Amino acid sequence: MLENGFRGGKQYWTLVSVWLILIAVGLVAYSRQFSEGLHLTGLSRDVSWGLYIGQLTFLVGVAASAVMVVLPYYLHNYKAFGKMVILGEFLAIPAVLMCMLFVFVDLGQPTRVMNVLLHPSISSLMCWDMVVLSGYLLLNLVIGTVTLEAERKEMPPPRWVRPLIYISIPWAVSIHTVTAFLYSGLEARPFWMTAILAPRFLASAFASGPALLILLALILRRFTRFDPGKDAIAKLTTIVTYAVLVNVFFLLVELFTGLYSDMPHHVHFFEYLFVGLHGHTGMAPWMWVCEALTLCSVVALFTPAVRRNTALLATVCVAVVIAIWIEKGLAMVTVAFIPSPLGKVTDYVPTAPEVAITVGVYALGFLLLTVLYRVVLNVRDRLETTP
Amino acid sequence: MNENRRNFLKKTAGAVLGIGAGLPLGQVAEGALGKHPTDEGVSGSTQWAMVIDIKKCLGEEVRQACSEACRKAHNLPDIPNTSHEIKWIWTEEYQHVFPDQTHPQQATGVREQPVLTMCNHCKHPPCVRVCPTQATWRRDDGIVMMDMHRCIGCRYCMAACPYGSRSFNFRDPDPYIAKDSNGKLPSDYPVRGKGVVEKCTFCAERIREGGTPACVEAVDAIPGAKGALTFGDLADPESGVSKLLRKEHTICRRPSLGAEPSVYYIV
Amino acid sequence: MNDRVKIVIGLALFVVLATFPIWHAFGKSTPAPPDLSRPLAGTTCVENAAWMTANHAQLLDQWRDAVVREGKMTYISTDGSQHEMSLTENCLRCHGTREKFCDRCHNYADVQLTCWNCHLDTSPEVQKQ
Repeated sequence: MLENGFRGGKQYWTLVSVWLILIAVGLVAYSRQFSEGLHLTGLSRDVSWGLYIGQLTFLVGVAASAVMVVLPYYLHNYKAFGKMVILGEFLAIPAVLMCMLFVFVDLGQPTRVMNVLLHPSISSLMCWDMVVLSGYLLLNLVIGTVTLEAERKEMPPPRWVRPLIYISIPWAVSIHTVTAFLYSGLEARPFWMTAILAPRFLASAFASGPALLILLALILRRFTRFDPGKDAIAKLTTIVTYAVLVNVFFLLVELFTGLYSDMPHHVHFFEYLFVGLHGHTGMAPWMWVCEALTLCSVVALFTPAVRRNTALLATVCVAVVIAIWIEKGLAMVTVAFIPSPLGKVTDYVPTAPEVAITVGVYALGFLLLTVLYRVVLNVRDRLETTP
Repeated sequence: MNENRRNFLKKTAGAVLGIGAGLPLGQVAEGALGKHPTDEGVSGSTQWAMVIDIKKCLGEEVRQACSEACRKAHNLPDIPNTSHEIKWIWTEEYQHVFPDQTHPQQATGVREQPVLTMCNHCKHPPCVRVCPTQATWRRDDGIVMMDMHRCIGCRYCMAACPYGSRSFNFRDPDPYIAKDSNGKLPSDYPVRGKGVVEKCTFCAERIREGGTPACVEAVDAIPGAKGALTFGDLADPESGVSKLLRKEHTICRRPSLGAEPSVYYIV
Repeated sequence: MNDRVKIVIGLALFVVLATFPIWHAFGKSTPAPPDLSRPLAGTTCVENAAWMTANHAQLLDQWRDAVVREGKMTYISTDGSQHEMSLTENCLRCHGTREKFCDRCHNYADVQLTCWNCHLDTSPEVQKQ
């Protein structure tokens, strides 16, 4: 079945070539970083985590969002998601893979990565993150390929897949929660040390993931014969709407606690985010764009005319993904380091090699996504054309 | 592919994987690896601590001597880009070292007082809690140690340290270490490579030989500055640190966090 | 089969490439295993030579963990004698410098050493230079 990845038209191979070129660019940049060290990035002694770990945070949300289609379909028999489920699972696989790759490229001594398994530390959330991410990757690989294979043979999937599917639901929540716990247990970083961090992660995941899924479904509908169905897309839009709303609510709640208490510990972070701190205003434009996009998305999503119009829906979904990418992929990680424990404000600007490596990893994920979706499309085509 | 070929390939792959995974288990180290005497190692009956007298460290030469001694003793690089600098013991202003003890009406002389800062060797170190490979751990004698061989450079410890005590090797430090005219390094201490995190280790290698940390030694050699840094055993009621802690008004950094530093400051 | 010619050419190419190490060395003399510098002092090593050749890497790993992580300094070898656990202070005190000892075999076997990326050769011979 997987050999279908090699069967595609000109559009498919053009796309694959684009990803391969970008992967090559990333590899060249990474080989430089591997031999020279992380001084090629914009990281510093004060801001020691940046773009890479930000992408981990964002993508773990995208990966977990597969549960938003799996849960209604398998647990509540919501049949409209029938063709969407495989798309969700096959989105989760590259997302989790990219998460793990982003941690890998962030390491100072990547050749020693097996030390995490050889000498694990139970109290370290990073160990647990490695375990749950690997487990989720395996789960989705098995579930996705087995269910697709069963569909290809026009048979019900084997019985042992059911428990795996049920396990994948809380596991999806766990990968997110464990990643949030990576941050929210550190007394050194008051910006992260809030109980609402894990719920915020979940809310933004359930907004960005389904939004991305809608976009992918619309792209597939536009360029191929695959149509997940109007009902599925409509339901996903509803999920995105409420998730964005909850995300905004959580942000406002955080803003209230931080600003009303007027504690410098809390206020400083929001100052840096929205107006700048001690003259460092680099982050502010990004955050205002993020909030503007979020606001527009909320208004748009509540307008039925927008939801019914494919082009407008796609635009709103792009806006949601970009807004949450700025919030999680850019702001959330680096801002916790500003100011440093000794009160210094150090700006963080990703460098060209850093961006190149990021693009390379994304390209690798998108290549996997393209190939997996190609397999789905080919299987579906065969099913629909054979009498 | 027809079904039989598929099944055959699956079974072969599984067999190969199984044998491949099992091979390392079959190889046992030949011969015997020897043993160690049981009375060696780190003793839990000692609790190392440091007391810093801020007033005696006001002079620039005292603090310079500390940093320089540490730099030379451990082959620390001198990297001009402050984003990538490596520092184990250095000077910061009082208001940054003790942000919870500062207020806007405090005298500038107090707020901007230079204070030596370093790893606090906490009793409940958050960095140890988060390290995924146990590359940093708290020894029985209170020192929070680093194992440079095991560190994977994930920098989780740097995110977790509430005091900003840790430095990461963003590049190979060797070109930045000041060598003498023969090209020799200042000391025999192993030079770290790129990609690992490092910090003050209370000169564990010197303590092992019964000595004192390099910074304390350097300060004691300056006339009039003896006692600016006192290093000793908290478990011994007659040690220098125990006596000072009983007698003087001491504070430590950010006590509300519960990390319980082992570095105390006489204000 | 129309592809017979392509297959045969491909197979032949593969055989040539796969056997490259064999036919490339025809007519050239292979270097003999290196002669390690004899010990300058002391009569017995930590363990016997055959054992050390096979297991010195594991021994050094054990020493590394014991010294760094447990603060131990002494190793009791299988014959009961005690030794300081240090490559630079103990092994190289007898065996000279890394160039005369470690590098000879490791260059011959092309096994890269990472020890010296950080550790300094403080053997007495190097100190004399």
